[in-house]
Order: sequence, then structure tokens, then C-alpha cells
Amino acid sequence: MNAEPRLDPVAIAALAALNICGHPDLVTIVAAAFLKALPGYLVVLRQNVLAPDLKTLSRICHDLKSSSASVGAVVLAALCIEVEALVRSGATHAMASKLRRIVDEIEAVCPELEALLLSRRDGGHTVTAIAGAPEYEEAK
Amino acid sequence: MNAMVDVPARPSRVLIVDDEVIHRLILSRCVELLGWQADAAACLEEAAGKLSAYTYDALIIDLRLGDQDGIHLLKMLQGSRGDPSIIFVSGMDNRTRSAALRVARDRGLRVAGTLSKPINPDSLQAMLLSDPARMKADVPPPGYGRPTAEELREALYGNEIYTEYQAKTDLATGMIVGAEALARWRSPAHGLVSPAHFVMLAEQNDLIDKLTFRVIQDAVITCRRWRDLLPNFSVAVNISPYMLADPTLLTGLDSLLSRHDLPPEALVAEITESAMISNLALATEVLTRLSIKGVRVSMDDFGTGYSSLLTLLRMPFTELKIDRSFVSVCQTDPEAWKIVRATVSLSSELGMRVVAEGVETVDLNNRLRDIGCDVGQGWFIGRPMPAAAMQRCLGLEAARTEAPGLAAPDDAMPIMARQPVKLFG
Repeated sequence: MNAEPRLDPVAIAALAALNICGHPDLVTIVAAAFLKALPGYLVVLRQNVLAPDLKTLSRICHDLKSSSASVGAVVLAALCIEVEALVRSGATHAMASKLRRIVDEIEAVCPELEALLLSRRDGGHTVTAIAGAPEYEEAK
Repeated sequence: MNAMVDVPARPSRVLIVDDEVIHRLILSRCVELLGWQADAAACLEEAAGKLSAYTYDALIIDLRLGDQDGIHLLKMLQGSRGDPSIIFVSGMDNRTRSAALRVARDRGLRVAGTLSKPINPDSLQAMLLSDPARMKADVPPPGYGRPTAEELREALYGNEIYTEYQAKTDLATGMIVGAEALARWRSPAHGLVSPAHFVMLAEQNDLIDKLTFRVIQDAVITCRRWRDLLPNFSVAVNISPYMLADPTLLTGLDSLLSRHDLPPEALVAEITESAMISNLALATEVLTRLSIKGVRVSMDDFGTGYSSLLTLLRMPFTELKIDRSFVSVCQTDPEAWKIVRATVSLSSELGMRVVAEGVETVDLNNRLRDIGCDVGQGWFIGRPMPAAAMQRCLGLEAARTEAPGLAAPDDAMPIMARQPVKLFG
């Protein structure tokens, strides 16, 4: 099967362009942090498929929208924008199917993030210095 | 005086308040790239602790902090140390972000600006660097951070400075019609240096003419070559306000165009409104002379400066670029959309070509096309890329033009999406 890639390589390159010599690889720490956060989002989203809580959905889709765009998960980001719009309009009848699509998309993004982390490690992009980076510790 | 060498104490310290870890990481790195110190807080309580312990030069605040909001933090700032400048970042609409800035101003706080998420690192760095109070306090740390003017001077004589190109498409046909030339500096010592920083460094150290002509020369040479593929292709270059007073600007441009046999109408000089305001008479003279030569003159970042309409009437603009701050939010902000629509209509009435910056989605691309916006530029259409990658895109575009059956005329696919492997593989 030749599935469409879920992560935009241009966004990954944009993150890599922010690397500083001697600092942790930004692609690695951002991808790791995102991967770590996704199971939590999945739990909440699955709960909301059956009984949508608009306040919760508004908050998590708002967060997920921009963080997924930052790592290049553009389809996921677009779906979150759609759910935010549904929340604003109160159109809950279409919510369940949209949330299921977000769940599917997250499940498709996860293996790509894992592969990305592996390739960064194999490509020599491993952390060269922690340099007192608490955010890195948080992301691990 | 060069503010950056007249330094006292310590590197600037920035507090980032954002409940989302991905953004804390990215924002921190943007700050560190300037050689500044970044602290991060995930909630108001954590931010309050940091504010009581340290003096900050700038605060980057997410407006929506889970169930809390960034406005609440402004109350805490009134009794805090120092006089930090405030930057709001948010995925919320432009009006909400602008309103938040007004709240901060009303509280007597120093406001630097507002940015939409996902953050454009260049915009954030430009905003941080634009704060004059900070400039005096920056100490370049060893090993990375801010390069010096000397390093820039050397880079200009070597091959560290290069040009990237961001495509512009005719929104009606989806075809590439031009590109904006953008200076880049990859320094062996500092990595990729923020354009906001090195352009400012060039402006403050009499290097802006060298930098500008370096980009113009690259742009003219490549444009000449690319017009063999797409005969109507044009290239846009940014003209610094400092260049308006440079007597070599007009003669230098003349000489470059004739040496490389490029017709003047293939060159677009982009200049921001704010750049013109400082010396309107001089700007009018220089831009008029450029226009007489046949060079197209474009008003950049329209909508973000002052006296826009007056400037529009006085200057010989052939093109108007609507700033990305309107365009990128107009799908979620009905007021911004009204401004964009009115600007497109106004440009049409005045006989100017209108370019929308910040075209980041197919929906936006199509909506702009449908209201008659002529040209689009943005990440959906194509990110800045090296000349070789752009040449490959143009080769494909030329093939499409010669064999129109390959693509429908209204095919507005982003150039990235057309050939991702060839561009980035």
C-alpha cells in the first residue's frame, strides 16, 4: 500500500532550520513531545465521539490545531480547524464523524513520528548536549 | 552609533508563557537563536513564580492557556520587575489578538506586537529585535547567537549569503508568474542567521547596499535564465528604506539590468509603507524614477503601516501586497476578510495588481481567486526555496504551458504538492 505521507517534509525542514550547534535537535524533541502528548488527546477525543463536550473539544482542538501544524501534520491541523468551527456553530450532529477522522489521522501520524525519530537518530541528529534544557527533559 | 557594541550587562531574557509544550519548545529555540535566554512557563502560577524571581526583557504570552487566559497575566506584570515588552501569540483570530494588545497598552505595558500560530520564526525574531530598549542590553554569547558586522562583511564577500525564491502564482490559472527573492545567510559559526537580524545589522553598518545589490544581482541573473522557460516571469526584490537615499540605487539597477539583458518590467521593487513614511518626498522621487525606468513598484505589507491611502495616491505603485496578517486569518476572521475583499476591489479600481501574502491553504487560495485577487504567495503555493529547486518547478510549469492537456486551467495545486519528491527528495 502506498499511503499518502501524513507529515509535511517542508515543516520538518523548517524545524531543522532552527537547530543550533551544540543544542538538542529540535526536530527530535518536538516530534517526541508531540508523540508523547497524542495518546492523551486520543483518550479525550474517543470519549467525545459519543458524548461531545463542546468546551473540552474547543480547548483540545485549539491546542492540537497549532501543534500539529508545527510538526507538519497538516491534515490533522485542518480537521481540528473544522471541529473548532463546528463547536462555534454548535453543529454537534456532524461532530462524531469528524472526531473519528481525527482519531484515525492521529493513528496514522503516530507511526510516521516514530519513523521520523528513528531517522533523526540514525541520521546523526541525536542530542549533542542537554545544556540545561528543562524543556528537553519534559519532552523526553 | 552601533547599539550592539555599546553593551553593558547581560543577554536579554525572555519568558514564554504557553500551555502547549510544542510551542514552548519552538518559541524557546527562536529566542535562543538570537543568543538570548529563554525561560518557559506552562501556566499562570508558574509564570508568576518566574516573574518574581527574574527580570525579563520580553514576555511571549499565549492568549489561551487551557482554562486560563493570558490577559490575567497582565495584572501580575504591573507590580513586576523591569519593563518587559509584550508579544501575544495565539491561534485565535486577529481581532482578538489586537484587542488583547489594546488591553495591555491600556494598562501602561510596553507592547511589541501579536503573532498567529503556528509561529513564523522570522516574524517573532523581527518583533523581538525591533524593541530598541533591548538592543543596548544584548551581549552576544560565544559560540552562537548574533553574528557581528565584521562577520557579515566577510560573508558578503564569500558565498555564505545566498538567495532563495518564493513563488507567486496567478490565482486565476494557478500558473507561476514570478517569485520574491529573499536573502539568506548560513554562517559556519552561527548556522542559519535570522534575516531580521542580518538585515538590521547591514542597515546599521553601511552594508545594506552590498546586501541589496547582492540579492538584486542574483535575482536579475536567475530571472533572465528563467524567462527562457516562462517568458513573462518576474522577480521581486525588497528595497530597504536606507537604500532610498543611496545615489547608486538607480544607476546600479540600470547597469545590472542592461548587463544581464533583463527588461526592467521583469523586476519588481518591493517597499514597505513604514519605510516610506520617514521620508515621503525622497521615497516619491526614487520610486517615480524607478517607475519611469520601467521597473514595477510594489507596496509591501499593505495595511500594517500608516497613511496607507495617502501613500497609495502619491506613489507610482503598480502592485499592492496585502499583508499576511490580514490574509492568513481571513478564513476565521470575517472582519479581516472584509478588509481583504475591499483592498482587492480598491486595487482593481486604481488599476494596480494585487498580491495576497500568507496564502496557506487551498480554501484560502480559491477564495482569493474568486474575489478577483490577481496573485498569491504563501506556504500553500510554495515555501522559499533555493534557485535550483525553483528552476525545477519552472521547468515543470513550462511543460504544463506547452502541453496544457496535462493540467486543467483552474488547477491551483501548490507547486510543493505537484512534485514533492523532486523538490525535497
